[in-house]
Amino acid sequence: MTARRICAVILIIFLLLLIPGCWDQREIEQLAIVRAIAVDYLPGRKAPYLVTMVVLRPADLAGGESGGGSGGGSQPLQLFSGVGASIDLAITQITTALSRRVYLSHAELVLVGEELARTGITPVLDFIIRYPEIRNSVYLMFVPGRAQQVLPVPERLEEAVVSEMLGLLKNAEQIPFSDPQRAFEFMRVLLRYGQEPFLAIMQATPPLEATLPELQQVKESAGGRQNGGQGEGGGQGTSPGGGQQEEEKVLTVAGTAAFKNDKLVGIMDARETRGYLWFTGNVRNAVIAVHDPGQPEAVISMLVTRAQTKITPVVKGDKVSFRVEVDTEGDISSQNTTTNLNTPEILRKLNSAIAGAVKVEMEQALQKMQSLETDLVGFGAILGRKEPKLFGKLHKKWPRFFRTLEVDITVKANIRRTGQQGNVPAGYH
Amino acid sequence: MTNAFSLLRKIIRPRSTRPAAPQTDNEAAAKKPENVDSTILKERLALIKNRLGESNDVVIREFSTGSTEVKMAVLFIDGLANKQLINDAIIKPLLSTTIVNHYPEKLTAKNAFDLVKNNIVFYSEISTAPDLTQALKMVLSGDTDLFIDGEQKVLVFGTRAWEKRTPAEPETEAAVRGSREGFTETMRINTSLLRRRIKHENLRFETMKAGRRTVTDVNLVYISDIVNQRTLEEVRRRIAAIDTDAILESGYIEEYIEDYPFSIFPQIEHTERVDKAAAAVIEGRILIMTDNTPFMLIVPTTFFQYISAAEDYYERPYIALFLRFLRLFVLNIALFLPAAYVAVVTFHQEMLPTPLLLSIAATREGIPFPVVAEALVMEGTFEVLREAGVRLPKTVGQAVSIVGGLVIGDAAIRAGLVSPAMVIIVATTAISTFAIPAYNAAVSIRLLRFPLIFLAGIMGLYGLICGLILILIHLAGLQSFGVPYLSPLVHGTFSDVVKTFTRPPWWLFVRRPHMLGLQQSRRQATNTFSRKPEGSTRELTHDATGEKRQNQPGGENDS
Repeated sequence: MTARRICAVILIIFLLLLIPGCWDQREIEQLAIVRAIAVDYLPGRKAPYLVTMVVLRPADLAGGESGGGSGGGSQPLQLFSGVGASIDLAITQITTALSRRVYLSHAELVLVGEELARTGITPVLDFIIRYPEIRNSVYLMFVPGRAQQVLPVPERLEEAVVSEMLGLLKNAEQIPFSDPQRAFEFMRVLLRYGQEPFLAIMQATPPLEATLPELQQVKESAGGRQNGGQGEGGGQGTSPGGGQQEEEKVLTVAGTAAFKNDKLVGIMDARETRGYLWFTGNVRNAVIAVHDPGQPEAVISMLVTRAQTKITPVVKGDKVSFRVEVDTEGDISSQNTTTNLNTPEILRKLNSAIAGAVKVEMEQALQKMQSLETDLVGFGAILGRKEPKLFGKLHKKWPRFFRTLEVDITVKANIRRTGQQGNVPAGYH
Repeated sequence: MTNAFSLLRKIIRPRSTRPAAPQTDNEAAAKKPENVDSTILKERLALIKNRLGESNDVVIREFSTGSTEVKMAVLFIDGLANKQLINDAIIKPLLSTTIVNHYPEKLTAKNAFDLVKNNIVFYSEISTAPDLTQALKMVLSGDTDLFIDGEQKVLVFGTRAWEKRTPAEPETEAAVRGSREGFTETMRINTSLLRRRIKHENLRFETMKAGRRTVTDVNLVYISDIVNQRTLEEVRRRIAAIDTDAILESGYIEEYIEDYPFSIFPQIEHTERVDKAAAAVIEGRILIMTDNTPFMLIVPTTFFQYISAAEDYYERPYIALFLRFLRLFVLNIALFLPAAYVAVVTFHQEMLPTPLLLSIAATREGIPFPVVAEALVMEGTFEVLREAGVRLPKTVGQAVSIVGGLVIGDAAIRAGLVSPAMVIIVATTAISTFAIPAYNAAVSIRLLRFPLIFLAGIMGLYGLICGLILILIHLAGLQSFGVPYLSPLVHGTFSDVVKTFTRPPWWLFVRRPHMLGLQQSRRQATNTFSRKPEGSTRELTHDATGEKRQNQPGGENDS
């Protein structure tokens, strides 16, 4: 009996070793760790999907860490591109040029190009769902133009461009100029009736110095001096940095790409995005500027510390309208005048001015959404929860219905902390 | 020379010069005519010389005394018995005519035995051995025999006094706070150490013998009105059943009496701390004292005893609580960390946070071995270093640690043979192993690490979990003297669980462990906390009027 049991145990252990095997084993140094994927659509080709992967070269990372030698010039990130009739086919093409196994579990970013967004991003979502390694929590970002183009932008604060992008996203979540979406969030909204999904926009734009003419001059002279010090100046007289100077770009995350189903229908700029975000109540850290009620030529601004939005459908017979109530609080964040803010009527005026400004922002965003016929806020979904039967009749033609939807916005603003500066008696200093 | 001999004597006390035979000495003696005991002193001494051989530490002093010249002989082992005492208290009065003739009764061969025992010698500890065999046994333990011509019985004087180690600080279980006394190799000192701590009349030292040739004294120590009688009976039965030639250390006994001889886990705790032993006895456990070793066995033992240390009970309860959970955590680290690292790095890279993955990937760059091999080799190397350090003299031990730690470790990393991450893992594991208070438990953990690394290397976390489940199944099946090894988790009250994983303040320790099934479970009244005195504590420092007392040093500063 015991002998049989021992035999059974040995057999089980032996089978444990044999049956599961170690075919899933992959040594960490055989992996090409992909940090980000950019997907573009090249219209008119048989293999229209262009996939660019950002792969990390750990050897470089190690060299940089041990303080060895590369003076910031070496890029531990490598770009690999491939085209295919589908995304996985494109990746298959990439693997032919890779010395290591593609490893997508640590990809944190999927960049979607404009052309692809216009034709529909279902292939990307399908890939994310089906491919076992890639996570549903990757950030999906929209890139105007070609997605691939933002990848070679040099990093500024972080050690690599992907880290820079992720840092931008994390930071953007704190600032109400965009709302970065993870893949599962996008898909969740996509599958919901009465609401349309959107993506935040990542862009490579020329830095401010390059756009403001005043700064341009300063910069040129500075750059010239620098180059002169190094010895040989720029070969051409026009701009010292040559072609490099013109191509200098920085990454920004701002604005929203509005979708209808899985297709891009329009772009909302940063301001419109904030207007949209007021509908969701997700506007912490927003700074609202209004004219000083005492001295109209100067500006007073409020930092939003709390915002609450309540959306209620109002159904009267066949007519559907919505009531949006925003309740917000904030602190005075700047005041360049001597108006005493602690008097009740000034405060009341200021509050209503801020409420008015918010209302304008929201109305502009709503107008934009209505003109695009895309219900990013999810009025339809709210109606569906409240009046399922009514929405059941409406939901097929909801986008057109939404275009003329009546929305009544009331904003209540409340300044909580005015600060001490305004209380200084006039003429004191 | 004599010392060495006496120590050896002490350890090996032959019952007879013949090879050990299953039959008893008496039966054997009856068969061989030359071994027949005799009351005639001369024949008897010849027999003794025959049985003990020509060992030079055997001392026989023959003399005759009294007006009738009664022949007597003193027998003792040099080095085991106190020679000074024998001279002064036994031989001197027997040879002194004034003392012998002092008594009205004349000393003759007939009354010699009683007269000597009751009147002549100046000795407190006298017993009688019925025959030579018994007398020889006691001589070999350090007693002194007095043979009287024509008398079958033998007078035995308790003169045991050999070179002893004084109680020193227990090196294997050091503590910052607590008694510095550890057990020694001498049973009598050990019993006195315990008796000094537990002065209760019910403290029992029950003597048994084990080992056919070593005839080692084994004491069962318990408190008779607390201990679980059935457990005690079982311990007695198991020790009595030991049939072997030698018991040189308590480890022998441990292996003879433990419940599951093939288990990798130690089922009997040992200690050389007197306070820990005393605490165990008072808690209702049974202490098995073995002669010639400072290590006492404690039964029954449960697994979680290994995460507690004596000091837990002397420091404040909070730190004890913290330390116990720390030790549980450390136990898991010591067991699983290398295996988990191997599993995650070879199978489940997606489980690592990205920055960690990147730094591990960076350190793994260019390493020629797979992670499993790396882990096994590094753990093996560490075991070699540790073993080398333990066995070498202290001065050389330092050289080992320098060569091992600095040269091999650093050079191996620089040469790109092992990754720094692996070195960190191995070092963390090693330190965790050292943080387990019980050495014997740490040993099983160390051994189990290797199969777990192996399982993790071929099956990843799946393998690791399989290993964990196998270990848990095994642990859950173990028992120690009727108490499940995983008590109080599998058996026992909630209060046992609390007392195992935390250390409540002493005034809340109302009951002894329920899981031991004791006769008396209550230790103290429920409310024994010495609270502040009647009224307010302010009265201690202030007069009734509320004014500060003048002679308070603190009061002067305040005013």
